[in-house]
Amino acid sequence: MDVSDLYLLQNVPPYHLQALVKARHLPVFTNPADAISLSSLNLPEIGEALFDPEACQEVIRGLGEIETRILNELVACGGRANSRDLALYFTSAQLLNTGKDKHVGAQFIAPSPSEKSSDVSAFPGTEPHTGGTRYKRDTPTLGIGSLRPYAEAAPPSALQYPTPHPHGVFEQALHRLLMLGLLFWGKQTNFVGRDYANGVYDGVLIVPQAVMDAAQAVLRSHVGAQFIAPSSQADALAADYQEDLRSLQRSLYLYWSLVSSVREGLSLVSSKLLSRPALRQVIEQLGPPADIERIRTEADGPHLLFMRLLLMKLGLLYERNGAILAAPADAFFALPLLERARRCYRLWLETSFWNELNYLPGVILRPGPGPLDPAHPEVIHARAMVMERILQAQSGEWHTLPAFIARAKLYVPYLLFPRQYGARAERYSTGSNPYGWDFRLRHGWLTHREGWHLVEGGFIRAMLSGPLRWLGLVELHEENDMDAFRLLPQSALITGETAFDIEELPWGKLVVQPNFEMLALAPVSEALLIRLDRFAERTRLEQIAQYRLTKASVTRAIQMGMHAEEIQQILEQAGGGSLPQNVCYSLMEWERQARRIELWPRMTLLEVDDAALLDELFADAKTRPLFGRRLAPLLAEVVSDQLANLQELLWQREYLPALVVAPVYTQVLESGRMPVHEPQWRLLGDGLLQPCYPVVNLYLAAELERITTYDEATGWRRITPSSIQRSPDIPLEHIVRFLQQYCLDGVPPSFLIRLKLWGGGYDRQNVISVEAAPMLRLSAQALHDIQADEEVGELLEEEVPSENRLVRVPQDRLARIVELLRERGFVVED
Amino acid sequence: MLLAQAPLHQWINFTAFARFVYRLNPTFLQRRQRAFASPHWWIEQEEGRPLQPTQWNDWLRAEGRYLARLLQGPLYWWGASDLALSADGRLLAFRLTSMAGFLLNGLSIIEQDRLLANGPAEPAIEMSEQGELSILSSPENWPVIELIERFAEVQGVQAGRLSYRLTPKSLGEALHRGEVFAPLLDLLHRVVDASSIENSSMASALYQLERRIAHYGRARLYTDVTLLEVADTLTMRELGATTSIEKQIAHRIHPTLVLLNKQGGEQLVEELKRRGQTPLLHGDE
Repeated sequence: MDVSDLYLLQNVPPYHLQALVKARHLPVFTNPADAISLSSLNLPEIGEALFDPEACQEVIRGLGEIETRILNELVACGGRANSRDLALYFTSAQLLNTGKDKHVGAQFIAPSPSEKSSDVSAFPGTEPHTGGTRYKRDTPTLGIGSLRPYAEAAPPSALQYPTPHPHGVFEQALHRLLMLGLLFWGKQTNFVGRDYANGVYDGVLIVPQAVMDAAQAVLRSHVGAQFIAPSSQADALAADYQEDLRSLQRSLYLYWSLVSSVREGLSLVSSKLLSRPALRQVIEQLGPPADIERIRTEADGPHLLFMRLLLMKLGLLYERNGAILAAPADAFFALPLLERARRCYRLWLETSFWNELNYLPGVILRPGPGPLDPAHPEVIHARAMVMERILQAQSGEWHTLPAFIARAKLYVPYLLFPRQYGARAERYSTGSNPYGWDFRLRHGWLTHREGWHLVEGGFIRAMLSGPLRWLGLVELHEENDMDAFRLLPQSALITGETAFDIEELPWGKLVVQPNFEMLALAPVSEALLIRLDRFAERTRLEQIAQYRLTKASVTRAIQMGMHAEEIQQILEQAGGGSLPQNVCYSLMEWERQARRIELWPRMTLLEVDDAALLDELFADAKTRPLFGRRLAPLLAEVVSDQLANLQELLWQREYLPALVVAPVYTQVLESGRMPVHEPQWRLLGDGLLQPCYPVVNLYLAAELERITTYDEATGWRRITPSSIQRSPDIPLEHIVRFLQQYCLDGVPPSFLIRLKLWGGGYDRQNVISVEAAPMLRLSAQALHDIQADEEVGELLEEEVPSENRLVRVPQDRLARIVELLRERGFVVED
Repeated sequence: MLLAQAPLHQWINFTAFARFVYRLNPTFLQRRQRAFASPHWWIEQEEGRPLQPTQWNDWLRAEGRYLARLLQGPLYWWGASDLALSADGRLLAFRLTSMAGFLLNGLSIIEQDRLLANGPAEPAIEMSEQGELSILSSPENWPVIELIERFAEVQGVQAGRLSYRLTPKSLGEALHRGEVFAPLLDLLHRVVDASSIENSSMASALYQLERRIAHYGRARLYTDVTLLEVADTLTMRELGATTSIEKQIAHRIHPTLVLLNKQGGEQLVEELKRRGQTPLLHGDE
């Protein structure tokens, strides 16, 4: 006997023990004289007799229908549950009826007589094939309903716990179970002064461990394997149920396709939600136009928001510079349908991109999460717990949500609010839950009991009416205000880990007609649609897809890097044969015309001093993807987004690559706008420009070529009189500034003189005169007066013009100075 | 107080000092207020536009201005700082005086003289093989920090030490600006010489750095380049005759493949469109 069972007996009043002994006809104590000895409480002996496995099983087999259901439900939920919660579940699931209408999963749907099994129905805890309607292929497609804010679409019905009545069916059944010792009240249940075996109390009901074991043994003997065999699951998918999976994948494709068709992406507002125009585009693509006016922000259309966030999580969309852009999706859509569905499901289940707490019907959260705030880890944990409960439900049958939620409380009472965060009764207040929020009604606070059905229950509703429906796992009953759901057959496949060898339905063929129309027959693979989108115009997409090849669409594809041969190959592969001859010819001709003049803006190039380096990088499979074409032995294209990787690669090879941004301004020498740059040459005294680096900036080199000539002896550039005079449009001042800025140590002074002489920098006055001494230095007024003096004036010679400068030269150096000035290019007159 | 750690009697560039404070303690003014979801107070540039102290430009508008006011106001009035101002009154640099040493650190003039006589210690820099530099943020390292920030990428603060990384990008940009590497290499050589013998990883990292710098200019990356290719030389001649392409060519790679100036590419497209010859304009993907 389990110690906990003995403990239960110790807390039972003596009169109830006596009643138990009598009711169970325990052989040792059947003599009335022994009743007195019970007061001495020989509990171990009573316990041994009471919890004897054989005896327990016999008693269980003799139970009535309702008692059996209650006992089995308690056993299934772990042997403990609150009596009123249990009563609520049994009432809402209509499990207290007996006879023909017993155990009806949903009140509004009559069970099919052929689906009743008397053996199994005796054990509701096993969820037999009773009640509800077998799955029928009538799943509504995601349309207006799916775009509706689903939290509003599923208002919780008013919660009414059944009033306990001593003669009620449930209470009477409890009474019998208590009387037979199959059930006990928890220690904290207040029944002092009242009958222990009365079933009306609000307290915890406990099933002893021995009774649990016995009940399970009885169950095992009655119920055969009820699970769906893997082979039948596989068959289910192979049939038309693939349609449900396709619906999600088609929506994902359409969303992705819309984003990829918008070159600048879908714009976001500051809250990171889609802007209104972008949202309109999405609704036009994915939803009925009627929703355009109703959905004002992305948060109003949770289905659309879910799709976008899921696509982003899948890596098919990404955000850059305030816009949503499309990433390559070929690899994802080329995966088998089931694999794609599983990835979507797993991402929702295990990650935080979606937060169901944003969509609790009728509950206000303060301050609450933003529409894009990630889910708390407890939400993800709660999601897994609810999924476990949902997957326990019988596939294909309708389950009412109030009953499902009431039952979930028996199994996962601490959903969303683990006990470590605060007192259970205060879990909806800030500081007593992991979220730091207040959960309340619009006009008042939530009570401990009703709160479960609105908050935790609302969470379950949000899961079912949101992601699980969108992912194609469940169907909601549209006609009953969505208050019932059923698991779709493929849910077991999507949620399971087992790898089934399922043969997917073959995709439809592509028919290419000579009039350039193309028809992709059903079922159309999204992978094919993505390929066709790249070079053809989609004209229609329903069960079949219709495309048209045009010169513009092919040119656009070529612009994106495709070739006509590649297009032809894709079409032949999808069509399973060769193309009409005129289509082939047109493809080639359109490509030839398109490639006549090609322009690549915003390219990145690498120029090196040694062709061997590029040879090596192009030969290595690891580094080859960094590059595009090799334009010349020393020049190659770099893939734009690989610049940082290439810099790092060269750095690892002990290179420090110079980085040059192509200058915005052209005609640097004409305009005089010199971009900041490190010096590239050293200007020598003879006009030769010695490069500072093996590879000089080719833009600056191109400018330099305009004022220099090629020097064959050195292979460098040289400034000569003719090279300067070759470009009369370039001001000398700009040439000097260019050389000062891009030559290390600037322009040597001696060369500057020559440069100015060649460029006419001295106002074309390149003559220097040697003035013979002596000369007079005097003021202008004195000179004026003495020139007028009749005696002195006659002795003076011509005055030196005032615009000229005079400089003293020692007589012994004159010859050398004249020689040097002539060498510089001046004409010196003696 | 970071101001108390700044060296005395030394001119300090205010912008560099402000950046130093921003890096070490950006929320020194607002402190814990920024950690609250609903702070009790904050600073706004205009109604409804709170300034974020973690953003450099926002920080300069509030905390940076506060620092400048502190130096130009109370500290200057008390004789604790000398100032260098621009023509429009903007604080360019400051120098803390002996009074600052007394007010901020309680150092007497004699103690300050003794500290000055000891001279600056060798800056405590550590360099990893990956080119990561780690510097103790102390007053004597202040000039070194300024020097390193000219060449290295800022990597945050780790264990109270400023962390930097010498990357191809940061070094390339420094060279592009015309910075001279000699002072940096000189500093790192001094650090290696002063460090223990077993610290050979620093020496090898420095050797590698010198080799990379020596190889600068052997490879050159060009971004935002416009490339034009035509089907044959005949087409190129036709373009030359009918458009302004000759003026736009920056470099000829082949007779049919040329590099255009940036504006030249746009102009050429316009000219061709006017002539009804739309070129194949490739996307940047």
